[in-house]
Amino acid sequence: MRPRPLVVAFDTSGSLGSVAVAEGSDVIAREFLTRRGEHAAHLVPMVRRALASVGATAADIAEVVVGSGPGSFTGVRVAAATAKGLVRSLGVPLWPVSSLAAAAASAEAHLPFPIRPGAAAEDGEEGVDVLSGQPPSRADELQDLEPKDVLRPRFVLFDARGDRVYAGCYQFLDGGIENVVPPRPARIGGVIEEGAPPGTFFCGDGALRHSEALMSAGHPVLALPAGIPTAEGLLQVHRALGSRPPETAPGRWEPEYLRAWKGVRLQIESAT
Amino acid sequence: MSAPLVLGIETSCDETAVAVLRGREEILGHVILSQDVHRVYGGVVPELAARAHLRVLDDVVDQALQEADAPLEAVDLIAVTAGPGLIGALLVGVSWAKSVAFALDRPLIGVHHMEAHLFGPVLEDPEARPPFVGLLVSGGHTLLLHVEAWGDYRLLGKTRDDAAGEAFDKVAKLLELPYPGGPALERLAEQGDPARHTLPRPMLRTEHQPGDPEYYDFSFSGLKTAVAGRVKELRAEGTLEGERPHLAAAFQDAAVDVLVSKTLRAVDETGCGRVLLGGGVSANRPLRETMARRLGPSGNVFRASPRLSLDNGAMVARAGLFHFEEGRVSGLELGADANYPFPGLRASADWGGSAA
Repeated sequence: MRPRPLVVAFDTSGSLGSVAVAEGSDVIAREFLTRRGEHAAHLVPMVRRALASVGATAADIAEVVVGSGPGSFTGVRVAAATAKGLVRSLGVPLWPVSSLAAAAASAEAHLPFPIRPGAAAEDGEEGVDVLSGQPPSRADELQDLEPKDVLRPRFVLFDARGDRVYAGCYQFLDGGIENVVPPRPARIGGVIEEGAPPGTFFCGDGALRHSEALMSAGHPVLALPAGIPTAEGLLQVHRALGSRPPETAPGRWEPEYLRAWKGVRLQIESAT
Repeated sequence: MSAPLVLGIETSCDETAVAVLRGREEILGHVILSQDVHRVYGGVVPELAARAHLRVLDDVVDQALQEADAPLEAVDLIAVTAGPGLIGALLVGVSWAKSVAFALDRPLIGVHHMEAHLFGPVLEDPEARPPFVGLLVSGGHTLLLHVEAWGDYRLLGKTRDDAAGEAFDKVAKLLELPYPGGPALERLAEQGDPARHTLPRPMLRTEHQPGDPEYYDFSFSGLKTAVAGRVKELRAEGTLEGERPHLAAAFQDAAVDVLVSKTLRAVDETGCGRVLLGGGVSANRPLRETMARRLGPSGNVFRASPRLSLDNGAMVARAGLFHFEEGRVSGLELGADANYPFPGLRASADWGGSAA
């Protein structure tokens, strides 16, 4: 049987891990990992399960779209190493997509389980806590994205501990996405000081963490799931932007850590 | 079916290593990339190690496959170090190996890093097989084992604090030697007189008997502290520079004495005169020579050459093949575990030891 040209996308940069499978422009399978500690062990089985749910196998993968971070260094690397193994084995292209861009696309996402800012799931209950048990302040002032507002810019902030965030601003246009502020590390004070285009919504776990400061400065903050990176968001951005292939060979590609460690020099020597 | 082609992947610390093994002994490809970035920091920086593994793993795999003149699709099974080690570093190798095993539909075997070290010597010397008394000495571990068969490991002793290699590295740092400190310390000690400084031999008191927990266990942090004390005194006296070789020699002498003496206790108790040295510290020449000399002509000391005693993919492939032949295969749920349990390790009830 001829392989089906399926696109597999996954992201494990944050507390919610996800896999999506697309055939043409249709997303035909979705899987989620709701416990952060389990991303590494369960990502590959989840890819297998997503494919199996539509009667497909690894041989049907024609492209891999991976959330390239920023986020948890380890989580970003698990996705990257998994993606590299797949494209190396299958000889298919690798498309890295910013997890911030994917998160900008998730305001309209529907997740098959509750997503709680700052409240752990009860025993046996499914759900994901994106704020590690600390509810956002002014939670009742968080907004939902209305259909009339979909073209307003979305400033995604990922929590990077303390007052640090990873920041990127995106605007959805007809059939496209514009990256208004490219991904960068920042401090919440700096983000507020710089301001944002009029009408910008803030979203993401970093925006929820600092919702008090943002709202006090007059910036509206979107309720979850806006600002949470998902595999489906990766696919949407990939289609809209026509992601660029990595500038290096896929094997040498590095994710967007957005926090540098300098001075790496490497040399390969044979030990034979 | 001809002997299987095994891909072995090792990313537990600061070596990105991959080997291609045909059957039990034919090493077709063998590449070790030592990350020299850590030299700048005087020790392994976990985040840097993990980033470097991710950046170079594909290239290291490619070179090993090139040496083996085999495409990735020719690999029959994939073995990967799943622990113990630095979790972020381990996850790179494990995640990559899992997706390749899934994509190519090949069996995946998670391997314990220290068990893999037991399989290093047999890749060069078919005689280096059980039964033996195994002394595994590395930067993270110090284990004394009685091995009657592959997969059956009786734990006799382990370190209670620093690993032997860790002690070498820390003392090297005290003596202002560059990282990695173990080999540098060995070189410095060659010019020194070990008798000029008296250092303690921790947990080597003669009144300990089999059954005492101290009989086989190791402790190196006190020895390191003793060196630190001497360094402080000598620095105050202004004589440190000239005494560095002697202090290095005295430390190495004490550490080797403890390692060899405990191993010989195990030889006496078990009646097994075959000793296997594994792990990075087994490259230390005084350790090997002292072990052979004190074991005497009736005994055997097995150890691998440096390319198979440093962290490497061939030993991982060989250990993985053993488990595969025993019918043990890991699922795609395999996770990396900084405290990965040693398979087949049992505490020695007779000696009152406890599992690592």
